[in-house]
Amino acid sequence: MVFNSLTFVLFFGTVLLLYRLLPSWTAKKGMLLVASYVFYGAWNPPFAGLLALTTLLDFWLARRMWNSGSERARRAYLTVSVCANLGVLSYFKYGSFALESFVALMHTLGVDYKPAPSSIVLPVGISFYTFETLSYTLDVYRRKLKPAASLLDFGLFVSFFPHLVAGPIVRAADFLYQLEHERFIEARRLGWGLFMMTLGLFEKMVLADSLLASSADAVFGNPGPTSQLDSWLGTIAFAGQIFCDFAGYTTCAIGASLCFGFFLVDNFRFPYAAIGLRDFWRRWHMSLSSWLRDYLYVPLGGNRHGMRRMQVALMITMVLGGLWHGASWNFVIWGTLHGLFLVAERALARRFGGAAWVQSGAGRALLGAVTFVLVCVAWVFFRAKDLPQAAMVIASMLGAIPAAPVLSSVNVAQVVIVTCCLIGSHVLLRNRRLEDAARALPAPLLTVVWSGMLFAIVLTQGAGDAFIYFQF
Amino acid sequence: MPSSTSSSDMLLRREDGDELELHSAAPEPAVHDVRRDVPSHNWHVMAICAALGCALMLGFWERHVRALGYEADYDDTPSLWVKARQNAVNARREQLVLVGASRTLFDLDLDVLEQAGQGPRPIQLATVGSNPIAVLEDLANDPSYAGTTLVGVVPPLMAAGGGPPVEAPQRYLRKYRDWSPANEWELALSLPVQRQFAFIQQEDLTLSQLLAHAPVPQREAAFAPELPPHFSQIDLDRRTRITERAERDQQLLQRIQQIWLPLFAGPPKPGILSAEQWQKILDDGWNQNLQKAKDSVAKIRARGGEVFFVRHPSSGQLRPLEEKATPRALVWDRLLRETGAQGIYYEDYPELRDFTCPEWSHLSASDSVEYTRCLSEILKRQGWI
Repeated sequence: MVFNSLTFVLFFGTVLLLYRLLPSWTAKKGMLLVASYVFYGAWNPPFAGLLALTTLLDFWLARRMWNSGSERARRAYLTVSVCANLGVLSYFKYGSFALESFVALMHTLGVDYKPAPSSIVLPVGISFYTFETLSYTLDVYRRKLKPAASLLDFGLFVSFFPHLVAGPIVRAADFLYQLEHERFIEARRLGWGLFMMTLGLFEKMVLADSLLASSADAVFGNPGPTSQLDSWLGTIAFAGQIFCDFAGYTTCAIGASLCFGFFLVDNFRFPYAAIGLRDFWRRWHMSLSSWLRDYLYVPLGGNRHGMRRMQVALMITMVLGGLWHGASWNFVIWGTLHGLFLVAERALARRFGGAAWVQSGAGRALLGAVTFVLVCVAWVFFRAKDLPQAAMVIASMLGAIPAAPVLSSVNVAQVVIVTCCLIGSHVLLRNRRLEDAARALPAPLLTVVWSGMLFAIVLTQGAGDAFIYFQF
Repeated sequence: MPSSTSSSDMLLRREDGDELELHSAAPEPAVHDVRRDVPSHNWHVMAICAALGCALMLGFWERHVRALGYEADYDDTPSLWVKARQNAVNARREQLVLVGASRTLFDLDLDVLEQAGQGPRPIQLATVGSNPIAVLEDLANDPSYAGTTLVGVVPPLMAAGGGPPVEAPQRYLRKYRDWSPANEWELALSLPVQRQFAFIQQEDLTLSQLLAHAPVPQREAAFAPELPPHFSQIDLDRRTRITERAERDQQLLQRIQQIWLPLFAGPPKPGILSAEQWQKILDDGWNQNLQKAKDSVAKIRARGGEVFFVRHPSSGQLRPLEEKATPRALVWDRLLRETGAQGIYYEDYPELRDFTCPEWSHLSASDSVEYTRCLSEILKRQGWI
């Protein structure tokens, strides 16, 4: 079930009503758990079974881990949890990729190996909930977190439908405590939650799907090269599309949770106003970047063991972060590029960080523009269907291949206007929060904007297009 | 969009200040607080006003599009197609299944075919602007399928080895393969809504379509052929007819006629290819299609099913244009020869050859009934249904 569907409107209304009517907190949590499994099973019922198995295993392992006095036993339970979670993830997500890479290697070595066709179907949201359950057992092992009070609480933490399929990647520490006492539907939170859901759907259905996707698709779906201007516009359109799509989803998720009285962490903080790649990763998919920092970068040594070790840790973290998005060399290159950018930025910051021009307004604007361009260049590898296409788009962006334009005048206007508005809003709100902006605006104006967004959403007549991040 | 706090890296106090139950030797774990504040507005009143404002705008919009001549009807969505495709599972020889492009959708009347045949109601699987090979292959690869398959042939689409005609049916097939309970529920909810509102119309009235038709000067080099505006209605069995309004509107019919010409002229040669290279790509595409058609026919026949091809009428300037781009000898005759299937070419039958398409590509609603009657007589005479 996707947020941008009539089914979800009916589902959400029914769940809200039941939540309001049920008398006890346990019954409400039970109903939310069942509703979340219905939400997830509506894609593919057998995958709800996989989700339940993962949940049961990690719940049991964490309890055993917590109660065990033996360090050896605790480590064994953790090993089982890590292997089981990553094993399931690897099988579904990387099985085909590993097989294809092996076949390619065999061909390179002159061996004509033809395996049976792979029929693995990727369960929706598996990367998200695997990282959530993994962080739970890791935190319990480190004694940073008490195990969940009940299977009901843990099951609801893992499967809570707003964040289940595309994040934000919720940490148990951020959610379990909210299940200890009854959460109520309050009029103000409900209204603000519905506003956030409208804003999220507007970003997804109007900005991403209706105004930007066609330009990105025209450039990246073109079998040949495109003109230099169109290549840049198509790439910039994708930069806007993926932000509006993903941030739109998490805004919906945060809003939907708030309607029930639950709080989810932020996932984006106006990333296209970032000054430097380090700043970008503090603003983009924050729940993933903080996960990678806490469970990968820091255990690898972080910045505690000198420059060289830090650079290695950074590269490993970013490459694996790229692979988290999907099993393809394009994602590996995307992660590697970001790793290289971060390593280079740290080196440059040591050399020029104190320079006056870096702190000046013009200097910061220039660095912000450079950051955006580098992020866009990396997006080419993220969006292209394979490496030859990515190379062709990059070559077109550099003007190395003369080619005809493919974008219509309307496409060009849409990309330019939406991108200017998007970057402008990110710059304006760079150091603020959405709540601050909403607080500063008069209620009548917000109501008109809300009406306009609703009207535009209905006009898109969205056919329930899936969010891009569902595939991850 | 960011909102409020996010503090995975900030260890804060517990929200309600309760003491955690201490475990034997374990240290007290810290708890993150991710509370969000709500901007101080009267949100529930604003929500009601926003909903009313949106309803008001939709009311005006609905009135406006009805004044333009639009009527509430169903959209030809992949979901509607999937329901038809699901009916073709386990099809036996007496089940007639229609595959093809828009001419198969517009020109064949399911009621007439049902009455003429001996089996259940025919299943309409044609999709607009598409090469039928992908759907034919899908049926051929379905081990349960052994129906009688009537494949409509629009020569330029049949010969296309790539591009929109080949990509178009993939959207429908993907939906069929990925069909989920959520899709089922969404279709059940959306059909009554589509039947109620004229503004729900995916060909002309989506936000992206409205913007795409904005009157702005086009970038010359990026010119893409225009697609026809909405001029048909579809029912739940996917029987499609030209609307009465379109049949009466000579200006609209002439506009659609002129839209077909560039669409059927074939894809332009990319500048980086020589004429020989381009011709080879086109030939290879057609040869691949032929091979796929041949394999599919053989598979369906092996299970007891049958495949027939039908070339429906076209008129006006479109007819010679199609013949020039895809001559009968190169496409139709070769298709029958290599697949070993039988077919009906409308010009070979006196009762079919005199039908005229008002917009050069599809029959009018009334003619489609008569055309189907004549066609079904031939099908019966040949013993095919």
